[in-house]
Amino acid sequence: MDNGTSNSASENETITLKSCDGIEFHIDARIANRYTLLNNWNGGESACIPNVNGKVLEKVLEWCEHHINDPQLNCGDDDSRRRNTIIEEWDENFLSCDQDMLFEIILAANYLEIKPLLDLGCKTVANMMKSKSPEEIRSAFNIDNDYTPEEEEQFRKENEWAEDY
Amino acid sequence: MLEGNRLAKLPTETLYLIMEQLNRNDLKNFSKTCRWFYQMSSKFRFGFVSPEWEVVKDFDFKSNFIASNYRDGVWSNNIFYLVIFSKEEPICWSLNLTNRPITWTRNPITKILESDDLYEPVRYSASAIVEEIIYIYGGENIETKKLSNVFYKLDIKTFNMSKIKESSTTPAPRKMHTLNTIDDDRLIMFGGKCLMEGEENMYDTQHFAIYDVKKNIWSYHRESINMPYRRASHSTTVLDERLYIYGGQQINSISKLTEIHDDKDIHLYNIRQDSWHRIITPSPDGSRLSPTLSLPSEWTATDGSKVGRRVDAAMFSMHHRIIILSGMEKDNFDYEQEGRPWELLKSLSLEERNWDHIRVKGLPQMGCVAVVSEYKTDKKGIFVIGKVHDDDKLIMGWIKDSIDM
Repeated sequence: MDNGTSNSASENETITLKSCDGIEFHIDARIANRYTLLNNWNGGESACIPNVNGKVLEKVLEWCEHHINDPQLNCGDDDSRRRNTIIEEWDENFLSCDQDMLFEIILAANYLEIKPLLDLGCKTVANMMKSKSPEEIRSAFNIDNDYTPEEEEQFRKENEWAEDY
Repeated sequence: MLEGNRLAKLPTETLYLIMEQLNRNDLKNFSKTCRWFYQMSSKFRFGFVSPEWEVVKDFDFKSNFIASNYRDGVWSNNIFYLVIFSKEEPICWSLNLTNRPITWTRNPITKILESDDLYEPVRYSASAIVEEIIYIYGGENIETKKLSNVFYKLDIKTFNMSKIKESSTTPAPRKMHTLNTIDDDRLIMFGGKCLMEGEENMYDTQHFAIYDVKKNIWSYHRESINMPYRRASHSTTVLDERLYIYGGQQINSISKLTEIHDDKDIHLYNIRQDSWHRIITPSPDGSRLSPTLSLPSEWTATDGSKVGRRVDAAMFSMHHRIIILSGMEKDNFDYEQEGRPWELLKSLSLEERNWDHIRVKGLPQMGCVAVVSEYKTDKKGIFVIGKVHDDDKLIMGWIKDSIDM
């Protein structure tokens, strides 16, 4: 590291990240520099990431590597970033994993503060709900309908926002 | 919920990110999947799951005169200031929301008048605050019943009140108009009732003027085709450099009867661009104005729930939404279908361009005097001061969630 300053890592520098189950990953130091939380642990040559296991960390780092040359986002871009609903083909394929992994990636991106990946995961989940009936959403996400029919009716009456007027 | 339901285990903020991507219909279907997601979507959309009215009882407000509408008072740092004029002395009542119990404090005002200045006790005036100075413009003289264009400024640190000298640019005498602060140093005035020249009859106006606090000058803006119709007792709010105007009433020039305005649309003035726009409310069936109809570029169509026509409603912003609450409705209510329709809090999403509503259980029918929605210490509520129709008594209370998440 060049005096330990954040944005000065060169292509050849690597650091070691260790997942919660002890698996080590040697990554391009520029990845760690891009994301606040990874960067915070970047004091030495290796860092331990609690809460994220090796399988998930591997996926997250794969995504980071692919996007290493993406332009950095400014704080003010937050809204436009979220409103952009287009998912690139590579990202779409990347997140076409099983649902457990998708949610693990979302949780890891949230924990590691990798906002573009978090947004991507959330958009993917939202896309799985779009134009679906409640029953289809329940079945897609294994949601248990805990309403009694009477309750369902009662909720509809009390809070009419969900109903057509 | 089932163990396999990974969605339910996501942090709330992450679930909100997902819900942000859903349109109204998709969110509706998501909310119907189970009780937890119903609550989460309602919280996401309105900030409430199941709001209810909790009245504040036995507050100490001893005054023989009441606030006429919510433009009479102003909020600053969680304190509400309400100036009440009597024939002899003005009093500034203040209400500190951070105190428990909530009580009114009576602050006598010192009048700093020059020798040729007359003290004019007024009501139905409009107030706005810039830093620590409350500006009070116009109203009806409570002694002479004549309309006034008196312009007071009141320092809330000292409670000293002085009169701003009338100039050639001061607007005509009026009452039931609105005054809003913009840019921290300008006031925007709209509408109100004025007197017809040489007559005793009043008429509603669409006068629009901006007062520059530093320069002490009123400037008038040209009339434009998209300006709101003339009105009084309407509602206004400022959000993201735009002034929003809704409701109110106008005197019917034929029958001379005062009616709640026919205009159920929202008008907005873009302060930077100096341009007027109109947000068209949904058709009775909830749909947008026919997409085949080409609307003027300054018009925006919306869909969703019915909005209605109201006077003395509260209008404020919450999470980039425009909220309309309470007030008196012109439309005949269909009580059988709607229950207590005044309980419905109407919410316009500016981004999605649709209207939703949520029922505030137990909310009385009232004209709003004041509303605070951004009170941080007690995040769970909106504080409302209102006036029951045909009754001069003030009521106060909180809109709170009956379901704590």
